[in-house]
Amino acid sequence: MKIKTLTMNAFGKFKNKTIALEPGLNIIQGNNEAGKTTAQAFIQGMYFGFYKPYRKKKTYGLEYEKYLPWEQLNYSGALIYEVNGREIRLERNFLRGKDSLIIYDNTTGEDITEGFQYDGVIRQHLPLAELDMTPGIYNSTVNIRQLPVEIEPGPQEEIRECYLKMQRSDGNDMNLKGIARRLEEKKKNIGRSGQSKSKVGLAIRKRDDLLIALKEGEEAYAKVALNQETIVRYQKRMEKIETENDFFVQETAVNHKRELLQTYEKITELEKENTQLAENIKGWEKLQCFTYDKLEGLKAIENQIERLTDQMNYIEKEMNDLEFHLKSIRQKEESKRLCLNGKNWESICEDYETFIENKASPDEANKKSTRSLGVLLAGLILVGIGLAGTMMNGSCQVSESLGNVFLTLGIAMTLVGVIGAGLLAVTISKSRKEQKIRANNGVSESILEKYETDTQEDFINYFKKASRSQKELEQMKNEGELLSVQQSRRQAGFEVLFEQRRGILKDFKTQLAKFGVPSVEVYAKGCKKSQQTEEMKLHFNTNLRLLEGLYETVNAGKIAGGNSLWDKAPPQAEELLKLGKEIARLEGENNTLMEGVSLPVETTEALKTLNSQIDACDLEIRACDAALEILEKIQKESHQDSAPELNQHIGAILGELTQHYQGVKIDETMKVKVVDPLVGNFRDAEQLSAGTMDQVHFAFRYGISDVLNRDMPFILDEPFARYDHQRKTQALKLLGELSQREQVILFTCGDGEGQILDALGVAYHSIQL
Amino acid sequence: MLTTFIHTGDFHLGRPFTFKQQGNYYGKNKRKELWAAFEFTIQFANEMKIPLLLITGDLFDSVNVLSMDVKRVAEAFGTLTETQVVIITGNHDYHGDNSPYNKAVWPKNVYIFKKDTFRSVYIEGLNTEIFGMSWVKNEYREFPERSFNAIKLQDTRYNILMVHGEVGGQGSYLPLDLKLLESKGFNAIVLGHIHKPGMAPGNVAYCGSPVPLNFGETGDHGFLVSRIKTDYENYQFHTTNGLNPIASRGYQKRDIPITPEHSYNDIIEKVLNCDTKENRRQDFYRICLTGFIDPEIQLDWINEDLEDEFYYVETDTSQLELEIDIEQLLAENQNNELGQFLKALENIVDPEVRKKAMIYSIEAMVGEGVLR
Repeated sequence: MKIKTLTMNAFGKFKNKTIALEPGLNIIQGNNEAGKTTAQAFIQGMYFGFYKPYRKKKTYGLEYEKYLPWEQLNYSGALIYEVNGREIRLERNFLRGKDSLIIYDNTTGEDITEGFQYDGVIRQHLPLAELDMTPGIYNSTVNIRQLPVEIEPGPQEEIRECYLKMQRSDGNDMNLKGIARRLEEKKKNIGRSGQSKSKVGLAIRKRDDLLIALKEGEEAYAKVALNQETIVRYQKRMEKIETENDFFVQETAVNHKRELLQTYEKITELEKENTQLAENIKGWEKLQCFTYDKLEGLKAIENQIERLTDQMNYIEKEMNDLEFHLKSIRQKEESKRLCLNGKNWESICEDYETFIENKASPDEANKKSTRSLGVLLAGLILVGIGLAGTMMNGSCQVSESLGNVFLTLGIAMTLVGVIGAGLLAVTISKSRKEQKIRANNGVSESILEKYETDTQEDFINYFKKASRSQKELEQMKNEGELLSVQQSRRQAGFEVLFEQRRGILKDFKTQLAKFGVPSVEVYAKGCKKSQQTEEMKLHFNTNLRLLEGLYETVNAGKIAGGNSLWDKAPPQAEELLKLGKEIARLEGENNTLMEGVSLPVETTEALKTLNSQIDACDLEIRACDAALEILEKIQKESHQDSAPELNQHIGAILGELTQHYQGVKIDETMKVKVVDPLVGNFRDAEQLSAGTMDQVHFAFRYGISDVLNRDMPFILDEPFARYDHQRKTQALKLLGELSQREQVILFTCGDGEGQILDALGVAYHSIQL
Repeated sequence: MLTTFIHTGDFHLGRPFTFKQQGNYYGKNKRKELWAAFEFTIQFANEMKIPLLLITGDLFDSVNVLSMDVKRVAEAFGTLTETQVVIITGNHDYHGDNSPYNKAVWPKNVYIFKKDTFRSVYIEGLNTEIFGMSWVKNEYREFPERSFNAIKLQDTRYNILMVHGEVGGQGSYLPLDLKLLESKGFNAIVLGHIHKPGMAPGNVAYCGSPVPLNFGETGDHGFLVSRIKTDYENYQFHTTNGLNPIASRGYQKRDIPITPEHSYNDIIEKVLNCDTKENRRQDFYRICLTGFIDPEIQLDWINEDLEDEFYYVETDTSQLELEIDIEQLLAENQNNELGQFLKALENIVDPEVRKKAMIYSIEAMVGEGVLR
């Protein structure tokens, strides 16, 4: 196959650029950025397009974006090649969505696209399918792209790659070692259980720690659960006991509460009382000087004043009484004197004596007998009435005849008495008329006239009366004099008392003024208050002491009596107490058990996550191992199938190139080794210089291309950058030989290749980009 | 008379969760969420003065639940002032020798069924009789029909049946025959075990888990509130159920189709576009990448690259295929090492290992330029 023309309508930096190639060796020369790599990629793109292989859907490769022209409106080109004497033109549109490949017979202009194998994924025909040329094979064999300058292992890898491809009769592009290496890397990233810093190693170590923590946690919490069940059992037992003693317990509880409440109430009450007391004490502090001794003194003075007043009042009353008496006596004297009818006692006495001398006195014997008879008659009437009455009402137990006698006798006695009394009265009246007639005679009559009396007896009675009045007048005079004396005495005593009272009263008032009180009653009230203040102080202090006790009671759980509130233990209190203590102990133990251990549920969750991660890693490792195991097996078989003659061929090329290294060997570990003729040993390719590595690489590529014998141009992009002159000459010599059989297209930035080829006498076609 | 009741269960308190990253961190947060849901339910019952709270099993996730968790529940029930609590146990918290219900003293307002035959408790103040059976072992292959048939209902009472099992199931999780349950004429049949809330005619309801517990539990979760209207003349009860949702972090699953044209950054962007930023920071996400990916793209660190944009994210690449035509490769390389290699890879017995080995090998081949 020979490429004749490259026409880049729009590709990378090129626009409407055509490069004409010749059979044999073509050297396309251009400076940096001239587009050598682009032109090389264009050849690849024209044959294969820029698609990723083995996809189920059309997928554009990285090169698509890389060589997409800036304008992005046109992305196409054409390539004319000759194969088996037929000139074929490929016209390709690279543009996404419009991508297509049309294959023409360039001689006839016929569209022969349908004559080529069709790819259903990229929906295009494959111009090199008949040659079994895939992009992978193309790039790994006949198309040598520019090697990255900086890489050291790059050539080594590529050598291996080439070697592997070389091993395959059909030139398949499988790089087993590279794949194995990547799988090993993947596995390394996952890590191993022994690698503590790796992902899986860390997870496994953490899982081991968590398993220990879980075990500890589960054991601790299992014990906690057991304890809790015991606690619940104890609590139920306590409840049962409490139920059994329900009444007592309730009462006790209520009492406890009540007592406590009472204590609280008492405290409140006392505090309130003390507050009030403190206020009162403060207000009454000034009354402290009021004393009962002083009060007694004041009262004594007051009593003295009262006594004096009483005495004075008494004397005054006596004086008033005396005055009254005296006044009364004077009035009586006046009255008595009126009884004498304006006559004095001496003249009356004289007149009486005169009267007595002139007139005998009346018959006294008659008078006496008349009086006695009157009494007798009265008695007779009374006895007669009594006797008759007794008999008439039958109250006397006598015979009827005797009763009639007594009745008759009674009536008779009564009648006799009445008649006798009538006769006596007539007799007396007659006697008195006779006496009056006798007095009207002489001096006696003048005296009687003077004293306006009718009879002697009247005068005598008058005299007697006057005599009595005179006696009384004298008596009154004496009495009046006595009263006057007494009054004088009283007056004097009164004055003494008055002076005495005035002095005491003044002193009394002075003393009251000193205390600022108007009276003893007020002072007494002050004293009372003073005493109350003292009592309040006492009370206050007592309350304080009580409060101290109550505070202690409340704080220490004691009741007012000083006994413990909880002393009144219910029945089975000991068991309750024991159970309570046991519960407290178990709860304490539970707290201790739970301290420092992780919750099993959380540990389990962490473990689940870790196990999931470890399982995922394990799966990944197993997958890697499985793939690696397969690879290893294939590698061994591949190694065994390797063709020693190919190694010899490549070794000969390398020897020609380097004039030094003769042999090449790929060992069982797929390491490329070259034979150092100086020592006769194999040396690892990694130990070679970068330039030598490039030459080994070139030898491989050249050798493969030579061996594969596929009718394809051999394309190289800047392969001799790190070659010395001698080795470059040898390489170009080889290329010259190869160009006798195949078209060779060499992209280079320098012009040294032309000079060497000229010197070697190798024909070539030079193209300037 | 009963006017309303709450039906809840399957809290799975104290549950250990499984997360692919930082399991204990997310697990702890999830457990906090469970507690928040439980306390919200208690608060709701208290505030709304709900007279009856029914818990249909699996209140705790395990018989080995922490004692402090059990005590915490008991204390919370103790704060209910006007609510009676009736509990049956489930397959997770069965009342066996190691029962979690033995680890606390339960308040007076809590009644726990402790037998695996049907018993009842009558709450006189509510004129309600509740029938229930608890799990005392961790599997029941048969329904205790004999004990169920012995149940006799009093028509004047509101009758509730509580069971933790699987309607129509045939396994070891107490298979339930719904027709049989309904045949007794219960006014309400409250069920537990299935985590998705569901209500059926005849007042049969699964309360579901109050909050979703894994990626399989999507949709609304909460507790059921049942309201009863009583026809006093005929002693007939009309019950209506409604789901009272509880706010929590949801579980979101997203399938993201990938094509070979997608670059790594395209994939990241596509994943981020699966939901709003706000939602991504709120919920748990499982991103399942599907389709074909360019074999040159490695997703080893995709989860790490997404982590900052999500509260929680885990990526599943198991359904993602490399954009490589293996068949073509094999066909074209039957007689060479590549063909041998690929064929040998395809013969790996373990499918997971096989798939991974193939992916890694192709990645390596791509890296080596084989498939470029």
